[in-house]
Amino acid sequence: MGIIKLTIDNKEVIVPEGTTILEASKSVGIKIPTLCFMKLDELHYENSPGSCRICVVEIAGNKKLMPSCKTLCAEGMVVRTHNPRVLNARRTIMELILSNHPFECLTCRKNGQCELQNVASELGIREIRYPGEKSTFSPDVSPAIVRDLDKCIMCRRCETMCNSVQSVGAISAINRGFNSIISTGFGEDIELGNCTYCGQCVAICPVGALGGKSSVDQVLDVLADSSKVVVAQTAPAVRTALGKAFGMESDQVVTGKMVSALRAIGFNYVFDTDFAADLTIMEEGTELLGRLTNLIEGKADARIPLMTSCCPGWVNFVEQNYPELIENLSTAKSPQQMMGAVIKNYFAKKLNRPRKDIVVVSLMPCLAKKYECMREDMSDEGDPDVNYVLYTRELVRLIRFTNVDFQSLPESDFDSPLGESTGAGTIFGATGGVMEAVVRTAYSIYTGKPAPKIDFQELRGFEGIKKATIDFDGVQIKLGIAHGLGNARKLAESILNGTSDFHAVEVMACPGGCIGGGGQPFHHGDMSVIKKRAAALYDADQQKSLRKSHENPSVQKLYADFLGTPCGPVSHKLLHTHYTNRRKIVGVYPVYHESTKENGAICLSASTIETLKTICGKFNNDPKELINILHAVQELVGYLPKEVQEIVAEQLRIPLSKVYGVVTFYSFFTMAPKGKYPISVCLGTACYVRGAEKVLDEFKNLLKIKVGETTADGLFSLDCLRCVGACGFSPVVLVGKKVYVRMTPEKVRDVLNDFYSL
Amino acid sequence: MKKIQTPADLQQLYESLRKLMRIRETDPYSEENSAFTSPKEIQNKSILLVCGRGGCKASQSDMLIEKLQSAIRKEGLEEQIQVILTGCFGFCAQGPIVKVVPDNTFYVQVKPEDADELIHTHFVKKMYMERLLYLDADRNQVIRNPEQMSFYKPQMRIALRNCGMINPESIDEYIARNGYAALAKVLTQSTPEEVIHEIIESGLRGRGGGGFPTGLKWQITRKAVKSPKYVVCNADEGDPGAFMDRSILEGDPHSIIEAMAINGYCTGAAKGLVYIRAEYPMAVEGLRIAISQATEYGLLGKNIMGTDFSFDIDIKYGAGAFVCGEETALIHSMEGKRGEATVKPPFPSEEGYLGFPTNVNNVETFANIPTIILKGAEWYNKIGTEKSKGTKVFALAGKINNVGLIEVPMGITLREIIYGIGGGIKNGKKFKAIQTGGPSGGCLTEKHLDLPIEYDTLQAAGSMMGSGGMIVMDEDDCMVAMAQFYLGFTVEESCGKCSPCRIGNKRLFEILNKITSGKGTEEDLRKLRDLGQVIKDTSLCGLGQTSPNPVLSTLDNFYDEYVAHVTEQRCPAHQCRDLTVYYINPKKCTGCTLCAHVCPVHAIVGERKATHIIDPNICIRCGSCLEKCRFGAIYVY
Repeated sequence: MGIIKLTIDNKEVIVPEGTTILEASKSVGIKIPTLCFMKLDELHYENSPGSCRICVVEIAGNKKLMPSCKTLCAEGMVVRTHNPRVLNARRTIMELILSNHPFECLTCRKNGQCELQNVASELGIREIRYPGEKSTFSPDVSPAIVRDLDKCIMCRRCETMCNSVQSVGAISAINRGFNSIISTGFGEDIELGNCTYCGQCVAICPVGALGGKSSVDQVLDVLADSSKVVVAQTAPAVRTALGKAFGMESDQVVTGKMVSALRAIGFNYVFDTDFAADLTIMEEGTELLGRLTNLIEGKADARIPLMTSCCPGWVNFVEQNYPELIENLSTAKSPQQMMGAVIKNYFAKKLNRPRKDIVVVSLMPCLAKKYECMREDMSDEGDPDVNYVLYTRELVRLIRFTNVDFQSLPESDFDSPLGESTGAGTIFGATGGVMEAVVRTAYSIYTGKPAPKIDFQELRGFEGIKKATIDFDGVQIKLGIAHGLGNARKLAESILNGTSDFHAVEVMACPGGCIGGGGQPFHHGDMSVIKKRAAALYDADQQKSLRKSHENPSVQKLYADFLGTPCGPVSHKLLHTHYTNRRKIVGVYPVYHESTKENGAICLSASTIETLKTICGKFNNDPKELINILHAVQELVGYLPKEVQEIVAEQLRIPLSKVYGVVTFYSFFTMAPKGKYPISVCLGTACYVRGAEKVLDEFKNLLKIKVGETTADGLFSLDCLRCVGACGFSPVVLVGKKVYVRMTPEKVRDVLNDFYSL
Repeated sequence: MKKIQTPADLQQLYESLRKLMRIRETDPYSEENSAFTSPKEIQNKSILLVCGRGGCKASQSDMLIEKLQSAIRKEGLEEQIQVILTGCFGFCAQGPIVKVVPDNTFYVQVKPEDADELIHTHFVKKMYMERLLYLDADRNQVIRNPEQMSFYKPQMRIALRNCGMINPESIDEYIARNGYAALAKVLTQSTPEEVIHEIIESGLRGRGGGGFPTGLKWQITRKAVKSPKYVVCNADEGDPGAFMDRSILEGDPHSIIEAMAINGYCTGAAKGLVYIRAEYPMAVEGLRIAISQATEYGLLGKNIMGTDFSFDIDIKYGAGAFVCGEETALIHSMEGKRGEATVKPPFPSEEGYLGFPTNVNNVETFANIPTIILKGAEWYNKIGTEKSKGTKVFALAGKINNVGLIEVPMGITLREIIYGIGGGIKNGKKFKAIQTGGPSGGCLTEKHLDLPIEYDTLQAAGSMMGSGGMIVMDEDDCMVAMAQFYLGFTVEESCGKCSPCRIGNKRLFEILNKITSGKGTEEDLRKLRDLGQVIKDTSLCGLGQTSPNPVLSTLDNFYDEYVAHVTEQRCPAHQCRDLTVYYINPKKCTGCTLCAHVCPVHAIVGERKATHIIDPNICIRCGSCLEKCRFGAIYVY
């Protein structure tokens, strides 16, 4: 690795080869503003399109300004980060971005936490010299995530996260130029597509374009309703992220103050989801041992490996993409849902109140939990086990509403009987934590002996996929742990194709685990924030006297008093659930003799569908051949409606949003049927200068349609083309494959007559 | 069984095919041909070369060829006369063209119905068919031999050497013109380094617009360590008004194949990819045929001509995105993705297609390679100027008489092109400006007429060479509207990735719309300049970096026109509709009502024999009334 010497703002800087100017500047205290750039090393996330151009710098000898986030240092480079030319460019670019941004800061969800605000403020923008049209989109509200695309600044962070890290591809860049935006295929609501609600896009969006669905107002209403008993439950990951939002160090677990705060907000009871985590271990541990026993006894359908099911993002992912693995999911509910069921059945009885008087609000780091609590199985006679989910950022807001100084709150304890937890429950928030908790208990139950150690370091850390083999007194138990859905996909594939032999698998959809959840206070690209949260949980675990779930006296009492035995009939009814195959199957349509239109949807005939698949197959279903394939497909069908795009996406195994993103990028592809005789008027410069516009006007006049439209009788459609390369014969008009040269407005009628007479 | 297994096979085939070309080349009796010529062989033989591509094809040259063939049969002259379909002669303004060889008679604007008369007159009556000969309007004389035409005289066809000469669908005809001899020479007589050195020495620079030294690019790719490597031909010719690459692809596809193979040999690539725009289906078809022929002959595929070198070519389609002419966007498009540019460095020569070293060259750049190899760098670098060697193909279009494709040595002046080759401004109008470099270029004006055309001088003058499109504008063209037209194009074609181009160009366009609709201010002119400069400085790729050029160069050269638009709400060229008023002079109007009849929007009212009035609120400034009025009563302000 060589060493490079360069000069930045007259400072001499020495860095190893391969360092970017941005990094080199930082090392000497020069912080160049950035917007689109974000790098989270441990999570293998890097978004560096170099496209916002905010971080541009001047490099002596280069005619153009260069993006410092991408440009590598070179020996002898002379860099200026803020001379008048650079400063003017940076401020102009900011004005441009702001000129296409809603001016709603004061009422925007990101007010005070917005990276765009920060940079605009730093750059001292007082005037938008270049106002103009703003691109607008319809808002999208789903159960967990809300999209306000008017605010998108095209930083591409969410696209990179959803595609490269999470391997879901619910969103991608679509359209071209000024109208380009990051959205779903066909711009439809994310609820209708394959979004898992993991919320990682929300976690890294610099502005208010993406956010969580709010339940604050509903919870405030409920808290004000004296006829209700409002019960809070708190996830482990919340207590480790809360402090920083109130100015405390992020390596502190602020459980006591959190509980006080919740009481100040007005919750009648505050329970600990960690308790339910311990409960989950009891159920899931027992379930695992049952399956292992089946496996050892050689029973078919042992459903090994067992896959954890506490992460709703992961569960969604399995249901939509790997329904074949549904049988492997643990039937145990997540801790949040177990707690809800216990509160509404057990605690309600203790209070002698009907369950619908009890409102359960869970405080979670997660956005997908908002969807989870609405799942069909998670309620009884219309009354959900968990009524509302508030994510950490919403909790922060509620605490602020109380006007209380968080740091000076006293430490309080959770309420009984659902407030006690062991260290095993606490580490649920970190990747590997659930598995470690399982091992601590399963070992004892299986072998009858206490585990030789309590801390399983091999299950900890930020490696994408961790593999470990734990010796259960002679029996080798193979474990797999993944965080981030991209890694989860790799695990799932290995299970399906038999290249792995895990007995149990833990998956958390969020990189880092729940501590990195979509509802947590924003880390703004600072990986150390996430690392400190994990460390804090393991620390808290260390401090506890009880560290194994099965040793939790409150849990034991719950079984004795109410549940009976783990996986017994009562437990099964209240604490277990089922899953459904939600994979979208494309290519299965009613069979017609011809392609027909019904209610706006096109029904492809079975033979057309087969031909489409054959076309894809001719190109080996290779995603690199997408454009050649789309040409061939459009040639066959005449255009590219949704149904056709879905088939291509399925055959090539790429997300629909990616196919749609390509279709909407290239002018050649059309999603509306063209007329029988498609007319293209060349508006290339040579034709333009020779009066092509007048020819176009005449077509518009005679056919009474605008550019992009088709005549009512379906005969003609009108489009513009940029240069067919027949400039010597301009103006040029194409009708289908027939070329008309040296066109004039007078000849238009004759051209049309050529086709009317056919 | 490969037809050509060794270079000796190729030489043999060449010699046996020479007779195909003897009649067509300028001097069939030259020394070069004497070894193979026996005058008897060519006595009484003639060939009719007919352009069957591009605009000529659209002007029914297929039917013309059919009619010529049937006329020849009718006269019983099948033994003597052959009709060959060729590529572009370049003189599009006079197309369709029929060139009779060996006597070098150049018939122009030939229609299918002229076929019988042409054959009969020229071959039976043995007279020239005067009305189809080219009339030089300036000298008022008919010119039969193209070499004497002012359109052709200054030209030097290297890249276009075979266009108009050979049937592009015949590999034999290509070989008969020394085709694939350069490849044979390179494979057997030189090392890759030696060939690269030759290209560097020749001074060839990228003809797509960038002007980067070609040999250097090849060298960088050769030195790159990763493997496999790729050779890419950029055939995405997106500049509106440019059709140089199209003509080469349609008229001489084998030259590209041969050059790509040579490139592969030099850089260490075994795979060539041609990225060709979807708007060129004829070129695609022609290329397909050429590739399969070359493969059949063993000039593509494994162990070419008995050497270790193997090379294959695939075709990738564009799908209507101008930005895909930019090499990184092109590469991503080939990977099946959106054509979004990525930051350079790293350059494609190091990290390109699928992350591997990729050498992207323009069609015209490739077309020069075989000649440079065969004739040598020293011969080549005597042509052109010190920093811009060789020739350049230009597509001359717009308000000029001789619209078409030309190839001239670098260093020729604009005056020679416009008034010499181009034949001056159409309809006797006054020259105003010439746009070079398409939407990335700027305009050059009268004061630049004596500028030698080369990469650096054009750039210094605020424009650029670009791919070679040259649009001539006259006094009736509004330069503000021209800038608006180009920005409209840019806004539509911008990929949308980076802020300055995505948003900045849109704002530039909006300001220009304001100005052309009469709502602009002087402040707007300052804004255009400031914003344009920032967009140039900060855009991610060449499209954004050059998109403000039309605005900045028209501001520089036609500032008065802009000022008229914003301070007087007047368009001096009468092109901007909102700033143009059509007015009927009551003193000249006879009330014939012709104008009212022809008005498409019924904006003209008046009784018969009484003065008519145009309602400016309804008038759409289409100009139909102006054209119709026989009394000159309609004025345009």
